[in-house]
Amino acid sequence: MIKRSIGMLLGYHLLWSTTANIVGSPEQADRYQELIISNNFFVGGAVNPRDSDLKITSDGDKIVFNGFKNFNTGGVISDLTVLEGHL
Amino acid sequence: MATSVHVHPSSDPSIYKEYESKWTDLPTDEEGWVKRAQEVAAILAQDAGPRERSNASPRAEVALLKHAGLLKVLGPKKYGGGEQPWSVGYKTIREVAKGDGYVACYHFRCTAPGY
Repeated sequence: MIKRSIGMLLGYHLLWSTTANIVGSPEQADRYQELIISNNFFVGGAVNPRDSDLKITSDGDKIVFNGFKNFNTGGVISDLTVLEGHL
Repeated sequence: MATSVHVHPSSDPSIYKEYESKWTDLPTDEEGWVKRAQEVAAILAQDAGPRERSNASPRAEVALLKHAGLLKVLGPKKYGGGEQPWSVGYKTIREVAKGDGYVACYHFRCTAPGY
């Protein structure tokens, strides 16, 4: 397990916690900012273009991620983790 | 078949319990945010050596970031955030990294989305 610097954890948190600002609708962005900031959440991410993809399947109301990730920043200790995958 | 969950050891957040009420308000400008990050870096520097040698998940260190309000630096004021620009966010990252004993250069910094 690679030891992370705390500065790096803060950096990734700021990156992942603002993801919806870029890829989401204004309503989604606002909703995630309210969730993350008002709860003082720490956000991690398991997203890396060099890593294997998760497969996403739809299960009615839910989407299911399946697969294995080699890189996960802050996942063990995060309140929320950003995942990516393909349908 | 029963699945086993491997519980990875983590640092104990109670080591920073004294800081829960140290910072009552968020900083309001860049200078204030940089100073806040420097304060956190100084606290982290106190035990950077033992932390680096241990392989525990940084649960306590993340708790310290939460106490200091640093996770909220970019967030909207209406939700209790600092609503600072990314330029200030970067500065806080750099300052915290200094306390970690790491040089604050890593690949991510130039590629924040939309910046």
